[in-house]
Amino acid sequence: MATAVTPSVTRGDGQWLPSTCGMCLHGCGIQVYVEDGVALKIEGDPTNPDNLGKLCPKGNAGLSRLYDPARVLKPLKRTNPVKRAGVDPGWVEIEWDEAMDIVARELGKIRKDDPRKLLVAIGDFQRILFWGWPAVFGSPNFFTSLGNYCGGSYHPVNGSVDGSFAAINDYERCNYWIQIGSGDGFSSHLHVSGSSKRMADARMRGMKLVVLDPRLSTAAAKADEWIPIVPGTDRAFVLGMAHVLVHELDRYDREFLRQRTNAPYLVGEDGFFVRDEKGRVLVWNERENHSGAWDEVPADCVALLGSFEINGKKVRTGFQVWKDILATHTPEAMSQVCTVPAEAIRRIAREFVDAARIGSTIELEGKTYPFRPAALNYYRGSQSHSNGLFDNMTYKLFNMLVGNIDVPGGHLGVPLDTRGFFVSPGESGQLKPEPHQLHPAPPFKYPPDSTHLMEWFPIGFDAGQLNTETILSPERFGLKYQPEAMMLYHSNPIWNMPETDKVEEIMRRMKFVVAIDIHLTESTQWADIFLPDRTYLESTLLNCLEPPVVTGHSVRQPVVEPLGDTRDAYEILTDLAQRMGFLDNWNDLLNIVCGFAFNTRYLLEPSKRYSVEEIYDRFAHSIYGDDKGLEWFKKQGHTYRPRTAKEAFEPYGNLRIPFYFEFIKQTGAELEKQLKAHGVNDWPLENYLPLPFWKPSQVIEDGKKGYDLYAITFKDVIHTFGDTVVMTWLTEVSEKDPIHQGILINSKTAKKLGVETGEKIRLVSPGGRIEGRAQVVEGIHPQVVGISNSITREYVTNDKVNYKGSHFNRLLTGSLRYTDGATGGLESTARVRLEKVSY
Amino acid sequence: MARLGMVIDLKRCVGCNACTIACKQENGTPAGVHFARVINREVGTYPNVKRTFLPVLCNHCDDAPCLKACPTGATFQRPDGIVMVDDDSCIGCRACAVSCPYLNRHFIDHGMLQKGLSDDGLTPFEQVKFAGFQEGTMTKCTFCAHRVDHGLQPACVITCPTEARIFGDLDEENGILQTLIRERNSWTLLPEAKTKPCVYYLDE
Amino acid sequence: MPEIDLTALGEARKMVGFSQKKIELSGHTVAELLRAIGTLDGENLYEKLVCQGKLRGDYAVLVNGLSVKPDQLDMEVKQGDQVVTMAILRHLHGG
Repeated sequence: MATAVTPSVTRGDGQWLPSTCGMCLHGCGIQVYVEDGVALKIEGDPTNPDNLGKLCPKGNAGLSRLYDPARVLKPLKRTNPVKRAGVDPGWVEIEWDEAMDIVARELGKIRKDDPRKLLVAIGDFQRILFWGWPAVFGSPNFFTSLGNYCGGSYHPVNGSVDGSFAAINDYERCNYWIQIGSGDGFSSHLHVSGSSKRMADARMRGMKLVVLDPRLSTAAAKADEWIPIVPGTDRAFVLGMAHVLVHELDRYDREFLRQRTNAPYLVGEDGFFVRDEKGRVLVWNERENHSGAWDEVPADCVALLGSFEINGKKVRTGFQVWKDILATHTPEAMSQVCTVPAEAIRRIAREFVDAARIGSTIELEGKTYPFRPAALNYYRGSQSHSNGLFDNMTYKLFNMLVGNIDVPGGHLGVPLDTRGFFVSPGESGQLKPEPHQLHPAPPFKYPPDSTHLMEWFPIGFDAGQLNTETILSPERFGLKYQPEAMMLYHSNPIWNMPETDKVEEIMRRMKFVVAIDIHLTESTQWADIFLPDRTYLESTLLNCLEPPVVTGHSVRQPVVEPLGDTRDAYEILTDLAQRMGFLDNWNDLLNIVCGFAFNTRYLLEPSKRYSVEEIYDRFAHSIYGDDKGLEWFKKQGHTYRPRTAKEAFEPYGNLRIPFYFEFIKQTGAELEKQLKAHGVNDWPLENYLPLPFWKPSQVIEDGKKGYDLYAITFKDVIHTFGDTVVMTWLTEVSEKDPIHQGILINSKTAKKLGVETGEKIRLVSPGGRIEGRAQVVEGIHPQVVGISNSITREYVTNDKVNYKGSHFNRLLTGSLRYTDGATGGLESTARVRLEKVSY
Repeated sequence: MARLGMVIDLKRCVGCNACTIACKQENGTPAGVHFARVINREVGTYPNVKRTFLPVLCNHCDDAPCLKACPTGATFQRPDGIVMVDDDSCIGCRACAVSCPYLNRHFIDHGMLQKGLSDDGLTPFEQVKFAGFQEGTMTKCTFCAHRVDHGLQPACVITCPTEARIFGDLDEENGILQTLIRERNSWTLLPEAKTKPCVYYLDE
Repeated sequence: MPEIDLTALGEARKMVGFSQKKIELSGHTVAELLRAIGTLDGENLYEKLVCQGKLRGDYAVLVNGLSVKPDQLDMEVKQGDQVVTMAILRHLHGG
């Protein structure tokens, strides 16, 4: 085994430096071998319990990012005043001082006039501490659809259920794993290299894996059973299974639902909980046949099911309400929607509940926990839809039926970082829902401040896709200003936002655009000034993002002298703050987000300029004490250790988690009042409901207009979504795999349409159209066409990339109609019709 | 003396190509040259269809046809079984490439060492790594002999996220390799070629 | 008379005109501390940060790193306590 001191390259006497991978957002532990100032090898850090010395192909390709000849190594200024897609900006290199003068002057003018006129497309998750820069500049605007494809509905529901950010099944103990629309353990999400090992270990010990996916993904390929499904209908499959458990088998974890959730709380006909004069929610005492406050009825007398009367008014338990909803969601009815045979829905539901061992316990670290080794895991594909709230709620509720939330073997919350779960007491013995994990919920405001209307999403995320609708039709939303400038920070909105033509129209209106990045992209081609950042192998930070089974921080440090004339993005942002006169606010923001306000020894002074090393040195000390500063991390690499049972399981303690999401209904009712008071009557409020059910989305409706196919996009482990497609080391491998060579179409469908592999085809959706070459395969649902992310980039700086230009997001529509009105999650599936392209 | 070999567990493998890229950076091979690769195939018809991932590399055969085909003795086999090429003796006739039924010999053609990520010039990494190759000669997987000689595992093995690759001594009767070969359904590629490969595969 | 280390961040700093200061307090609760800190416009922090007896939702007060709940302004502060007042920034971005 290689260790941090063993030379893996035999030439001589270089050194290994510990650091953190930056090829995706998560950050596996790495060590880099450097000799004579040249980085020659990146390996996984074997001392890091997160990735255990392993690295995915992206991590292995890091040196080709560092030494990429297409990197920008000096500030650039546009000389061609004509801004248009495909038109050369006429870049010339300039000195940093000149570049920063121009940016500070132009953004300074905006700031004085109205700082909200700055649109900011901000990415780079590992530098999440710096995401508040636009806020101290004075702009609330988030002009990008970065994480909300995956997380728009996902994170708010995780946060509401147990104060987590993400979730994963218990790799170590789960025996029956249903995976829907997710690459966990195979190709993406939550530290994939370590997760792949954990998943492989689970499969080897005989865990059964059932994968639902429209496409034969890597997960589906390795599963015991692949169930092809129509995109956006996964919820129907799971509702069908819930029907089987509740109505047909009558098997579910009564004690978990009764004691750990609010399922027994009584609901009135108005859909709200019934409360006594002290405001306490009522439950039904089934032994004495009367209602009582939730904390007064003895636990073993609380009714889980039933309809009752209180003062002549009909009430039902929350569980009874969902049971009544589920009555119509029979496997046969749900099969009609999702195309999975009813008998498969029944069989998998039965296998799942058998495997869950309801009632069993396990002892870990001296404490007895429920043991539920069956769990349903899901991510982007299964819930990035315009009813994403219901999708997420359904999957959580299905897990709750077997009582597996945050218990060994089951479905485990994953905190955002070392701070752990956000758990605090809420009303009537319930957990306080924390749908906003990245920032506090913005208060309602009319007219709205932000172009993505974050003030109108009290439980939602940042619905970046709405920018196009609001900026191009401001009067509809009462937006009182027009954006004039843009900052692109490691984000490529022309590529990542839906309705590319409209994004380009907004770009056209910008008077000034500054880009901070390492590469030129579709979006930076609209910039006036380009400021080159350093790569992850040349910069400094401490990282912790969603590690599924460990906790701690790992260091990123420069392993070589930075190439060219580049600057760390922190230094760029700080210099701009200083030049524009808000260094004091910037430092105060860092005091808050870095946690220095909680440990005042390390507070930054308002007017002093700190280096990135000083910031992270204080950050390290403030968490790990006097003896662990940045220098300690640079030598030791990380403080990662496995999460203890106490940290991982039952974070909610005695607080009840939501089964009946009453607070969502309350929030919607409150928002409705506020909107109506300002004359906004067409805002989509219909998803603010406490329980999920099946209803067709806009995408299903679109099928009636002749768009007979569904289009999906997908990624494999060899690429991130868009940013690695410029890397030759990766594309020369991915391009050999047929799934990355064209638009995937099932052979039966291809035959019907007379399409052959290699033929040029066009996909037309209600939102746009794209062209590409057809790739006829077996491994995709006949109603679906699939587009690898690796063929979607339109402008890449690497002329060796062969397959490109089939820009999936052009097919999507970013409007409200394709957005979950409660969460802001967007629809990531498009209905299309396929046309042959004739010449 | 050990007889080095590898077992690749196809049940664990998820076809991620970490091996392919780890090999690329370890050995610094020129554009298009991969000592380690993964062959992806779709088998069957919808809905009874599977995707299979087959990682391949030099089999370091006991009866290596490339060894016999080489007219100059440039291809040689170490006592531990590793098949290697001595650049200085290789005349680039490519007889070995023709003889290898596994397509695991790679020719460094003229010009390949002048361009890497970019068509004009080499990166600092490539300047160091390409110095180890000679134009007009054959090159191949060495089981990372330079690492093995320092007691390290091959690059493709240590990086494999699912630990699908197990490297060791085939001569150890009760060692990990022989145990896996015995206990699981195991096979080698193209047994009909009678090359006696030392890379074994375990069935899914 | 307890001496409190007071830090004001962001908007709160702008209101009081300083970033850090030792405050000699004649009372012993958070509310009394806030009343004792004058703002540049002649009012005091209590009038700025508190509405109907509760801490406003857009401000936070931390005592030794722990945040004070809106209705806990009668919480005791002691000699040497570190108290931080700050505005909560809601327009941070989310991915």
